Amino acid sequence: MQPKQKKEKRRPDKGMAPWQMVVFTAVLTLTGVCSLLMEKPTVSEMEQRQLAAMPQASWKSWFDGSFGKEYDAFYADTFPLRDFLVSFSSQVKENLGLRYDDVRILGGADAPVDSPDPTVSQPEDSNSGPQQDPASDQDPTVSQPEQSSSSSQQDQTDDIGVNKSGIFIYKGMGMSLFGGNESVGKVYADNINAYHEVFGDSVRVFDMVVPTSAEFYLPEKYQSLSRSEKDAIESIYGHLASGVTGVDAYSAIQQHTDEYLYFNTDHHWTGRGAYYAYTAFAQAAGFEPLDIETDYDVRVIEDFLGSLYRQTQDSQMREKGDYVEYFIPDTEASASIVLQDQPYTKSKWMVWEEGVSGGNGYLVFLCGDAPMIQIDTGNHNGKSIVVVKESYGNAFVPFLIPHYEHIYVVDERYFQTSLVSLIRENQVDDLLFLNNAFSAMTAYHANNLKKIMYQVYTPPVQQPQESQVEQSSQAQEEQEDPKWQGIQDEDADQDDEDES
Amino acid sequence: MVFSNLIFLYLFLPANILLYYITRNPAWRNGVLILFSLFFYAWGEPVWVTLLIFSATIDYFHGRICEAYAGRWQAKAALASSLILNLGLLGIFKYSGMLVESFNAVTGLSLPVPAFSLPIGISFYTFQTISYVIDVYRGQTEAQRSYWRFFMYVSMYPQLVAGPIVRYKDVAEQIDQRQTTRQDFVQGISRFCTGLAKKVLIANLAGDFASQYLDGDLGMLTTAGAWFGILMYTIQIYFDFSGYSDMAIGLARLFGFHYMENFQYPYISRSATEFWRRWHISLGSFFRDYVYIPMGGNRKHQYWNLLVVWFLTGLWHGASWNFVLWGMYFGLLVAMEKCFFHRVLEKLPRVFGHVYLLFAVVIGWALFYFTDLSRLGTFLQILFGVSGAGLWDVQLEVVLANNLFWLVAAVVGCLPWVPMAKRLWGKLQKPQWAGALESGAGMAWNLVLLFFCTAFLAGQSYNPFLYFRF
Repeated sequence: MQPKQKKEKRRPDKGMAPWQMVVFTAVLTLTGVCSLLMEKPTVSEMEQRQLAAMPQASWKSWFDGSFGKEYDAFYADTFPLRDFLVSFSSQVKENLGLRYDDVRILGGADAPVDSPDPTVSQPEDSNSGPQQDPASDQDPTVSQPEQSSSSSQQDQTDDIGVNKSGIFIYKGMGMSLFGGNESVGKVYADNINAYHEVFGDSVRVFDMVVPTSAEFYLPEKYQSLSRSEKDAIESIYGHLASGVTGVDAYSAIQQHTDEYLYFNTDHHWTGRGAYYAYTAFAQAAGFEPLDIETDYDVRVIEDFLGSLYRQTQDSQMREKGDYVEYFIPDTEASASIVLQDQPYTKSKWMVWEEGVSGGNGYLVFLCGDAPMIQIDTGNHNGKSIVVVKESYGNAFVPFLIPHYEHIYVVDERYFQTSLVSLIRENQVDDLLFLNNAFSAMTAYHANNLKKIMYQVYTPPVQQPQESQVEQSSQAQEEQEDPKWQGIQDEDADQDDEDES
Repeated sequence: MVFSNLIFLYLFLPANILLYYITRNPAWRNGVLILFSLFFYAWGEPVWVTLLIFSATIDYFHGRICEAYAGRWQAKAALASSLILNLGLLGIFKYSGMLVESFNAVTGLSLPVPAFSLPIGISFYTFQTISYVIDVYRGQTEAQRSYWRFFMYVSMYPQLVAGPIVRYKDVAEQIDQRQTTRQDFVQGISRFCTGLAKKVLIANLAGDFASQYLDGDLGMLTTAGAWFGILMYTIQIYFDFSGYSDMAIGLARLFGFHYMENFQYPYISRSATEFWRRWHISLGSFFRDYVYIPMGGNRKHQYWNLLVVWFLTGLWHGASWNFVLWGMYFGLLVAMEKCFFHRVLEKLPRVFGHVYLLFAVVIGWALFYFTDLSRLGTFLQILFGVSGAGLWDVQLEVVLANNLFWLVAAVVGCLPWVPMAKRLWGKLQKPQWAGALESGAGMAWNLVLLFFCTAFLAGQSYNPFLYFRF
């Protein structure tokens, strides 16, 4: 072996010009120099998130290995032409094969089943949580190379619990496949029952679990891929105490599935979808709903591309696109907001944020999520309602304006004080829990309903210097661009969760 | 740090190349390699880099002692000391948790289980230094006089993290005196880009599919899905590991080192014995030369020797009993082949050998994949359709169609068509300009691969924020 190689070496470099060495080294070097010199973006429009920031070097961060990891994330997040490279790679992935039956399926059962939470007993069929990477305790091959790059993504999916069974794209319409599990649904129902026990008959308690698009729009052949949300909802309602009313939004929506009730490119329902749920609620609560054809000022925001598109960058989805329809009733309304970590101050807010565009279309409703939004209406009938919700509630709440004098919109994820006190202090008449089928069957949400019941506000722990800098820059951005409010809020929330 | 990483590709590597080639001074060049290797290692493992330095230092002295006192008791003592220290470190960092856990399980005690994080690459570099000391002891190579040159050999970042296990005697000449030619450099580039593409464009995607089908709720898995999942893992592990070896060999070539091949198209083998001559060659030959043959090889108690070797081979892959099971499984196949099966296979048409080997390997990867033995049991039942799970699922149908071209490319990529094409091309009568065309096309192809890999690596960081968490 050895002598042969030597001979090879002595041979003149036939046909090998130095230009190849130069070209290769130059390509690497120039890209590297560009990556260092070009201005680094801090926010990604395409992903709607803050990009990783340059970590501060210190002995500590170097020796615990976090500097390397964070610098990796920072470098990859701010690489030159990253947006172009990212969409190029998603286009390549889209064209690795054929679109069969007009269907494309992305992702799958790889995401962990639920955000880990000790208080909910994990159901027996859910797999053993985030399964250990098979190769993680063996060093030869697959293991380490993976870890650095995928860890940040892992955290993200962990939190969302959205597409745990994947995204299904049919003729340009994206749907999250449903995989919820029943035992979490029971915890969810029990936690709602607890409110009824506290208030007895003095507050009417409603629960409304709404189906998502996969329930109605999957082609027949593929319906087995998504668990029945109808069964899931019925099972939850079966666990509700007799004094709690389960609102049948399902049937109301089902009757109108030929209308535009769910977005093609986003995981939410449309304003129109929320309207039909509102008619079901009206029936349960005993008032007359307005007529969608005649009673509203209907406005539209064009060119909306939502979260499912952002996740997949699927070209057919982009072609199909979406618009956001919203329905403004005659009744006057004004809003105020309780911000994250300022639980005792209210600032002015708006029911509609009509300036949104692009990927932010759904933010037109209540201008996104906040710990608490209070809406005071021109209907002085003395009635009041608390709506406990996640983002599905945003499209729904404005329909209540003609029927209540005060509406308190509580986000179960961000609310920081006691829900029971809020209800008592304001002598609320009705309490509505509104969730989509996914979140009603996600432990994180189910547990939050209990957590916020008698919650006492605890100010955030003083952060070390570096992250304070980050926070203040975030705050600045908030002021400049109110559309991003909801996003900022959630960012903060995530940090909280990480700490606990 | 890893190779499939933007920082490595666009900061570390160009800086390394430029500084290395800035002068012809060998001491400077060796120094550059050492510094970059230390930085490379410390980026992900800032603490345990000390262990690497420790290991290299003691074995430098072990080697010197073995040579100076050749044939005397001091040499034996140095060899023993090297084995005890190296295997001891490996034992503590890699296997102590497993041992205590198993001890607890057997005795019912609950001793505290040590939880060391495994220092990256420890299984590789300890084996390298062990092979060095043994070779010096046996007089098969001279001991390295220069500490820094020896340290460069141990810490060379191309093979440091995931092999191949490079033996000192194979590169001794290049450590002391090496020439880097343009040809080396250009071949190194090609080799590196090919390896990178294998890792980023094939292994990573295959890995996503494998984990979708193998990590989820096995209660939902169909027989077809189980086969797809384990086949994807079969593809992933080959492209990942051989891609890594390609990158290592290519990078070393850039700096004038010629490493042994580590993979030779293992999936075209026709027996388990042949498979192990083509898969992770540097590991198989390590166990052959330093365990199997010294124990007596095939001359005395051959089956006992096989048992020990395959037990160790399995255990080397990880501190979990399923790896041992996997090793013993291959040991059994090899023993069976030695006993009679090889002769049977010889008489049958070739296709039987291929089918047998592929089947055996794929089942082997199932043993390798599932660290949890009860999950493994469930999985095998689904795989063979005795669990009552469905046979086919419509989701798989779509996934297969959605990724059809890629699947074909991945399967074809396991076959040796590149050397075949090269041979054909070599036989052709070519005009004068063909050489220039060849090098131009080669370079263009490498840059295209690099571009695709860069896009995919950037794509990995794509992490859209879902502003409304469900």
